[in-house]
Amino acid sequence: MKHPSMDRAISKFFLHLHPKKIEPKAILFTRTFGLGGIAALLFVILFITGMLLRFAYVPSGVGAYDSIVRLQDELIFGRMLRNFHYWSAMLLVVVSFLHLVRVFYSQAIYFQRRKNWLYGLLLMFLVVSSNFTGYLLPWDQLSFWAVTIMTNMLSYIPFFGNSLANLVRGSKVVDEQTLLRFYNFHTGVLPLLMVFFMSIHFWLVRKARGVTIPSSEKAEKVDTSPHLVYKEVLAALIVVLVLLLFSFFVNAPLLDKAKPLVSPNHSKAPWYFMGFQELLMHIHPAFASFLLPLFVILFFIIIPYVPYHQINEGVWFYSEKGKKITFISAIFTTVFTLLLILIDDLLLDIGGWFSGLPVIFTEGVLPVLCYFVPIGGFIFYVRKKLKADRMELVISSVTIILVAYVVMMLVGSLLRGEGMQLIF
Amino acid sequence: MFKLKWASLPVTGNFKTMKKINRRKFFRGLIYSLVSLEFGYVFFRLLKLNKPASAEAIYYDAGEVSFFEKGRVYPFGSARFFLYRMEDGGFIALSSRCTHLGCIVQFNASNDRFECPCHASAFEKNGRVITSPATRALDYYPIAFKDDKVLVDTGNPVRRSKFDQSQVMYV
Repeated sequence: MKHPSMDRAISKFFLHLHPKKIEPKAILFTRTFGLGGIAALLFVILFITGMLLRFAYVPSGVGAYDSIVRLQDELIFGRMLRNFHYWSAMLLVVVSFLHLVRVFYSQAIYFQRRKNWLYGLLLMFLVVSSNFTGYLLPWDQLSFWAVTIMTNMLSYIPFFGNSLANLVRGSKVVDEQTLLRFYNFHTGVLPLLMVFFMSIHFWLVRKARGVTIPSSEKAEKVDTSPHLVYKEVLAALIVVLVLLLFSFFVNAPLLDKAKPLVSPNHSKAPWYFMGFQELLMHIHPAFASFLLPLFVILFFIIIPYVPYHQINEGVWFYSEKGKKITFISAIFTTVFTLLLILIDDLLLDIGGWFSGLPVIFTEGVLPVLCYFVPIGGFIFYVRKKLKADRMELVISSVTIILVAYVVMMLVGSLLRGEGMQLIF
Repeated sequence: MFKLKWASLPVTGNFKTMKKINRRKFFRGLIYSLVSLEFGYVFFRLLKLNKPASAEAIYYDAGEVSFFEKGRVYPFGSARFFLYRMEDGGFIALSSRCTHLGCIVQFNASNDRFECPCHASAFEKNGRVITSPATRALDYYPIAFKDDKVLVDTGNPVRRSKFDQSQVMYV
């Protein structure tokens, strides 16, 4: 069973991704949970299944839906192929998000990894864009209205929102032009960009000497191949197997063919945008779809460039106190966000009480203050009472942002039914 | 004492001090920027919405004036508007596109208002917002009357923030 030349070729190939020798700590599954690798694997799966799907898919308003139906009902393993592509894509969004969360909390975005954090954010954007452009392609009621809603969110951006939305759609409403455009982005432009930026992303990890680990005294190093390669292959096999089984039993959704004149009751954006849609139900669109996202993105970009007093590379949650603060922030945000959603839905009618004032004030500024004054108070408490330093405050803020988004996403996707009313 | 460095450079014509940029670099930079601009522009134009040559009025014939009862709302699904004849006999043609996120609103006769299925916005029969998240009244279309017929210009929706009486058309 020994193939020396094969072994050599494999270990040489992996040298592009990993160092030749590696510390055992870096191989521990709990260091990375294999998230970056799984994301790369999913990209490969999506690339291959996507290439196959292109043989069956017709990118036109007349042909798209029927070609999907034909693919599912008449082609051998057609349904399986679509399910596999669909569930891999959904998993890729989840895994990429978790990967982002992991590198942030394990302090793996500072010093020479700063630039890679930015490339990572860009890749996250590309992953979501790919998923979203693919979402429209089946041309059913679900995808048609989800894309209508999402592109209309863009038009709330001040000054250039409308032209941006028209640029994305290629039309004033979602139509065949949009389908063609999304198809081209989904199967051409975006994958190409992703391959390019993924290469840079991997190369920068390699340049920063692999996975971040807490600095320690000289440890024994082990050979990357087989120790790490074995684990990676095993993880890859498990992911592929689980995904295949899942795709075998759970079908990707397909509703009726798109009807541009009938919005189904409770149309929802794709689940990963449900946080925005939930936010839009409470806050003026200029805030929900422009100002708040803009601030969050800017904040995420500057995180690694803030001057900190101390950085503990590779230490989960920075410190014991950091862990505690993360935990408290998560709990506080969950409770507070849920509470505020309930209060706003059931009790508050700010627009009615102050009907004389401009809408931007009653629907925008006031709800934003309702949310951010208590949040500010909480951060002040963390700083004064828990004596958090700057890094711990940043960790607390990021936790608040991430948890608030996830809570809104879950409420929007799971707890809202007909007429977007809360259901219990 | 304090001298601005850049001020003494190109103005005096002393090009020796500009060691960083020589002629070759300048032209190379110029050509690169021009080519990128060109490509950027071509790509942008490729994606840009093709506007119809003229915003000519496309009139939709809704029917005889006398057909419409006062105080009732008439849906024109395929043309994407509702025609509301007010109690005083005036007409207003409302776009069925919700101003919130572009879903198609329905007229709910039992609540006597327009409701959006996507995010539960509601509008009065004249288009005014009753329930947020929508913040603008429904768009309306210009109406003309000819030979006792109601003609609705479906090509030119008019954005408005709220309802006012000047938007209502009388025969």
